[in-house]
Amino acid sequence: MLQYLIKRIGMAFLVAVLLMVFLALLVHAVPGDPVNAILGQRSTPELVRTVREQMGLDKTVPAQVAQFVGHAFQGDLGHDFVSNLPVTNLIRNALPHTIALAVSSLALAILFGIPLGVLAATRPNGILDRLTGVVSISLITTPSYIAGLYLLLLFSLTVELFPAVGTGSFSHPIGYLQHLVLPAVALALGWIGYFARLVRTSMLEILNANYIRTAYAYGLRESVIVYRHALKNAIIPTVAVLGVGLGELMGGAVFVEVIFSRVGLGSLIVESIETRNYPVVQGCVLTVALLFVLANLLADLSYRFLDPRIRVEEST
Amino acid sequence: MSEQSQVEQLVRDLSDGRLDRRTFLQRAAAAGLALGTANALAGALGADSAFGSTRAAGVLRVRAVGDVQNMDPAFIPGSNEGAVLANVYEGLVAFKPGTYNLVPVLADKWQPSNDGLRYHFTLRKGVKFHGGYGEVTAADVKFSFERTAGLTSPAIESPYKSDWAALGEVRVTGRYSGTIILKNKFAPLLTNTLPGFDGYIVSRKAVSDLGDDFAHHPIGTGPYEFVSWTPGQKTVLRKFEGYGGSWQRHVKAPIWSGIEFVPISVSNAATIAIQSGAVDWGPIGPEAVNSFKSDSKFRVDARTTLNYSWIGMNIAHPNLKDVNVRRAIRAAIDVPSILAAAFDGKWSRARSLLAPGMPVGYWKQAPAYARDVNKAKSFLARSGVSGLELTMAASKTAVGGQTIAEIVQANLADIGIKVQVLVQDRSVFNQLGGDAQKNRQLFYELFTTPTPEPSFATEWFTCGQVNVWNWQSWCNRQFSTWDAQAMKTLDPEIRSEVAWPTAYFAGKKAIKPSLQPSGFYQTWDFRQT
Repeated sequence: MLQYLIKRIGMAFLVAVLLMVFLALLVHAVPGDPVNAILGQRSTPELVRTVREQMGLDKTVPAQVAQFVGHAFQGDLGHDFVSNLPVTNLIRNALPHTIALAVSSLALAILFGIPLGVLAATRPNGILDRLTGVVSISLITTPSYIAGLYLLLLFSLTVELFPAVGTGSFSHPIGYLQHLVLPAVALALGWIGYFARLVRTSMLEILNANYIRTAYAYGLRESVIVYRHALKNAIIPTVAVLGVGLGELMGGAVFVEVIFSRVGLGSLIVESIETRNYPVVQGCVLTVALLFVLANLLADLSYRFLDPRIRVEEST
Repeated sequence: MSEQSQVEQLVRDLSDGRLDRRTFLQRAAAAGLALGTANALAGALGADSAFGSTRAAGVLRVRAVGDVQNMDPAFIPGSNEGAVLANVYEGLVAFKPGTYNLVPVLADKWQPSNDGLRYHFTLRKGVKFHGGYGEVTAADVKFSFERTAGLTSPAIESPYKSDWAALGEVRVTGRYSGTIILKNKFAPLLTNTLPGFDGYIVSRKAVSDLGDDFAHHPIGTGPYEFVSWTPGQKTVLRKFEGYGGSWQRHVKAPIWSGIEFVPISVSNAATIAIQSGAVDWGPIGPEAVNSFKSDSKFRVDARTTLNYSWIGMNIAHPNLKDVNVRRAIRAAIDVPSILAAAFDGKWSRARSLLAPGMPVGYWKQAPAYARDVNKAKSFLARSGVSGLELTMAASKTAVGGQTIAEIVQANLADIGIKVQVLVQDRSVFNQLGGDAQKNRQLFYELFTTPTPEPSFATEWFTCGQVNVWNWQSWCNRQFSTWDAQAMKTLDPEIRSEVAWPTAYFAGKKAIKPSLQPSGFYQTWDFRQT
């Protein structure tokens, strides 16, 4: 187990290094000039030259890449070109809100997606199954920004239940949760549908397994068979998806953060890409990617605990 | 009851708890009280708007189009910071809200010399900076102006350095008096530099004490002082209890206990935020104007800016070198349809570079070109060009940019010109010179002119700007000479004579079919409660 853990962490580290190099190179491959975007109408060739020097953009690309990677390992992701604030400060300010959004969306997706999938699987091809099928596919195909706008119209404007915009503050938990509900729902809807379909497929396979038939033969209650014996095994593919899901949710938060005017890495990335604010783009994408790697690592490790067969296979 | 006493009664009712904030807002609107936020907002809304009584009337929540990033007047990136800083800082002089009349603010006396090279000022005594940074002195004025001009040591590289290019020095003659000494006449000094944010007075001590943090902790003398900035969430100002009252000679005292600027970048989300009461006031997109206007709970104020936008052609590009091709394009483009589709008919058509609101130089009789497909085809036939393929670029952030490009695409298809639409990030769209300029063909561009300086609207079309911001590559020596003259001419009447031919030239040569100037709509949230 320890050997596996070291191997996985080593791989994660390698991915992180490659990612940093790739990111540092990528921003130079993208057309566009951050200096002109920042200076706007005030841009003159002389001023561009001066600002370029201040930003370190006059150095060669390999020098800029080496500098970025070297500094990143020391926890220094550079300074925002416009505000001159350290990028780590900007990330520190935005990250908790993005994590709160992604985790709460994932929680909602699990809370509603899994029971829906189980419900559909226990009555295959029945009305309930067909209904959950239609609902799930509809949710999967609804983009989060469309869902967000409808939620805003319905729950902020028509019934005035939740705030329309903003993030709230962690120091006021109730207010924070009120601000979180609509964005989290908008982001979770697609994943509710996805989890429902995933669990249904997995459950249908498990419910036909010999040990489930044996359980029925023993006369166990259906709820015990379904939730205690079948779901436990059917959930493993879902757990594998959770790691990817968390990463996807972090990335998918972009639209929701913009629509709800929430603070977060997504909205920070969007603004920074527009102005080619390289340090912010690099820092934010690196953070999201590292969280993605971490989430996958945790998912990998977790289903080794959930599925004893993996541990047995390894030991033999 | 007079408007003034109605307002005072409303403020008393609010303070005593007899009115809630929303009802106050609603009745204040009915009483004709505007709720601007000091100079900039008041300027947008009309004179005497942001001020009513010294008694608190709650916090005004304003929708900002984007978040602030740098609040140092020497480095502010755009209008988001401008709206905040207009409440925090003051200059020696400013435009009286709702007008372009220069009035003294921090200056008690203000005397230009006859040759226009020296401006003597005497400061009001006892005006304090926020945060305990002491009294404003002539040394702060010297520091503020010379700092942006790059004359302090160590020198800073402000993007607004050119606004102070004519500055020789600011000579301090006493604790409260001094003289601004120019190297040469510079008309924009009084129309842009001094009344705008270039003219804000910063505290020398605060700049020194706060260092880099000064960009995120502005210290001014205005009616509101900076409290906090939560990136992406809000910028909070509160009423400055020690306010020196410089503005109160021209407008009433501030009524809001605080102002919060909430960044909401998406127009639809801003509409919902205003409708739901999450913010009280703010700009809305043209598409939302009608729905707000038809709702009695809201009041919509329209202000025409001095900004202008246009469809340009790079005449240096081989595809657009032939004047008949350019004439064909101009005749084929349907400007009224563009105004209707891209701006919901809320922007008006401009015929020259200077907007009607510009104090000098507006060309009333400038021609407008109607769409005439047959004429366009005949121009194209005269050019002998066939199978023409062009690109048209628009910035993603330009309101209606993509729609405009698509209409042009459809319009030009009618005369057999194929147009490829390029909707670009600002950083790509704004690339200057080199290959970017060489490859540029048709484009949709907008210039903002926040202050009434005509040369700021015309300078982009001069020979000196070719390969920089003159994307048309159109160079006319006479035009450029007139423009340079206008910069050095101080008398408004003479300026008007100089600027008129500039406007005429720009219109007559018709390097573009114009759209502009942009009507800027703002809405107030007065909900029936």
